[in-house]
Amino acid sequence: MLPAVRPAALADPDELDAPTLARAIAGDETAARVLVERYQARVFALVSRMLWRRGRATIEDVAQDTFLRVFAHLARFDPRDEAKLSTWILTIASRRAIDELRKKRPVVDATGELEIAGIERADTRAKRRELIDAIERALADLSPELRAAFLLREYHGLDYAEVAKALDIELNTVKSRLSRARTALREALAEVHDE
Amino acid sequence: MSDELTSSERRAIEAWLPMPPPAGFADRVLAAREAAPLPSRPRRRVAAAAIGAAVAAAAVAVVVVMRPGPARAPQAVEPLALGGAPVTTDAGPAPIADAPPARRPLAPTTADLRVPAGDGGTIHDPRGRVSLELEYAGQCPNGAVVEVSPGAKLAPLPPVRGRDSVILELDTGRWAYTVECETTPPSPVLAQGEFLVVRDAADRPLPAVAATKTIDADGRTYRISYQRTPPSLRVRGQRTNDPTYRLRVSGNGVEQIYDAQGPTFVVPAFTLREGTYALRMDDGPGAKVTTVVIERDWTAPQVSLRSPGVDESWGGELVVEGMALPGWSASIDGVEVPKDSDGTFSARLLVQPGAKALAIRVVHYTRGVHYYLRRPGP
Repeated sequence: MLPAVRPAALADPDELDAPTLARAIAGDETAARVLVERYQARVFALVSRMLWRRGRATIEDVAQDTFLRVFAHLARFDPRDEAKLSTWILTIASRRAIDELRKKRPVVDATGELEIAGIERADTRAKRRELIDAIERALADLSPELRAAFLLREYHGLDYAEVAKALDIELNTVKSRLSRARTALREALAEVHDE
Repeated sequence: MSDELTSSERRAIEAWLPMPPPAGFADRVLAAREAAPLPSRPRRRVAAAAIGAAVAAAAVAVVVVMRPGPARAPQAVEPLALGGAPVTTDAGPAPIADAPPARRPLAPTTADLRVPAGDGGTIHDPRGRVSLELEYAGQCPNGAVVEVSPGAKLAPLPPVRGRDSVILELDTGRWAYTVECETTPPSPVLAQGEFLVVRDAADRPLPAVAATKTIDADGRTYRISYQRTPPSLRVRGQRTNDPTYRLRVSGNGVEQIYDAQGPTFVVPAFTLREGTYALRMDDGPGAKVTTVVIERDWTAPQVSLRSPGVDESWGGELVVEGMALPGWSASIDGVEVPKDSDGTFSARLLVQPGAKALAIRVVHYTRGVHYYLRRPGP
């Protein structure tokens, strides 16, 4: 009789398992591919929102560079010290995106370029665009660090301590910055709803 | 008052969908990584160990040489040692025999397909019964036990034990597995995954061009699925006494107008992508609105292998040729096989005797990992 399969309560399905991580650190190509495929959506989610007005090419370049940096420093990642590999990777991605935001680059209207194709009513799509514009405008007025703090907290679920560590800032600073970001967001959303 | 976002504010910010990774992004990253080796990566040690293992096992040594397809612009040949960095040479095609030995035999002699523990995906096998080797070398000093949980209507498998790997014989169906190191007390799960084995030779040709679908503007709802690219539509209406005819197509936030001398219209391919569209002919009062739903058919074949054929004999050089629909990227043992603009790909392999099967790994960023198997004939 087949023994009952033990539920993998200890393994986080969203994270890379320990053996694959070990093989990726050792230079195994297959494991490296698994790592990229496991985390690429989250990296793109963060980087694309950070660099929304820099266009698709810049976003792809920064995402790629993020993973190159991940592999360059992967041997230093210690699961016993770090909370999650995803948090560590998002830290690298946010810092790389902040660097990119500090560079003077032409701004492009990326809303149409980056919009997700799909079945959607025209009025729903228009409303979505309006909301995206409002959120993006609100965040565009913030510093790159503040923008990153907001995205890591609200879209990626990092707690305050993780955001503080990712951006190398004080915990209280994170809280105050996020409060300012939320205020800016609420004002932007109110403008949309008032229209 | 809490400063956190309310549920309605959270719903509002979720309207901002992120950009998904482009197809083949992982391949791009790995190629860039190979092009600029990083100092912290212990490549030489791994390569030496792998080569030693290859020699000890006296298995296959495989070299992939990319062959430029007919549609590709002339370029220097790029010999690829499996797992190694692409090498561009100005001296023309490099003899296969001169290429460095592979880091690890890609086509295993012990099983049809060898994957690291924790891997998963769909295995397309012409025979429908796969011997799958799960590897966890160096992870369990005393070996490991692999428990396999079959899907419905499948006979259970007994647990399998092995020091560095185990071989599972899987029939068509869905199989979940867990790997646990043999320790006292029992250790937590080392790795887990799931494979779906399907009987599929993947030799049906894929459409090279967009299809044309004919519908009547009769007020009904048409659901059109496409395999490769959004189809062109031929829309037929009722003939009237008017000298000209007009068709309005609205959907995805835009309206398009087509004029014709007769009651038949052609909406070109790619014009209507995935979505729902309302079609209305201006043919007087009571004009009917016809609904067209266009969607991609993910159940249709996405990959076709032309070479090697099923049970084709392998002798020395093996040519892998196939086609993959847009969004899919193919690789053999981690080496990307580039696609031409029409989706075709080709690679030349040197396979020594003893290989049980060759696996072409094809990946789509939303459809996951698929392995396509070919076994050598007698």
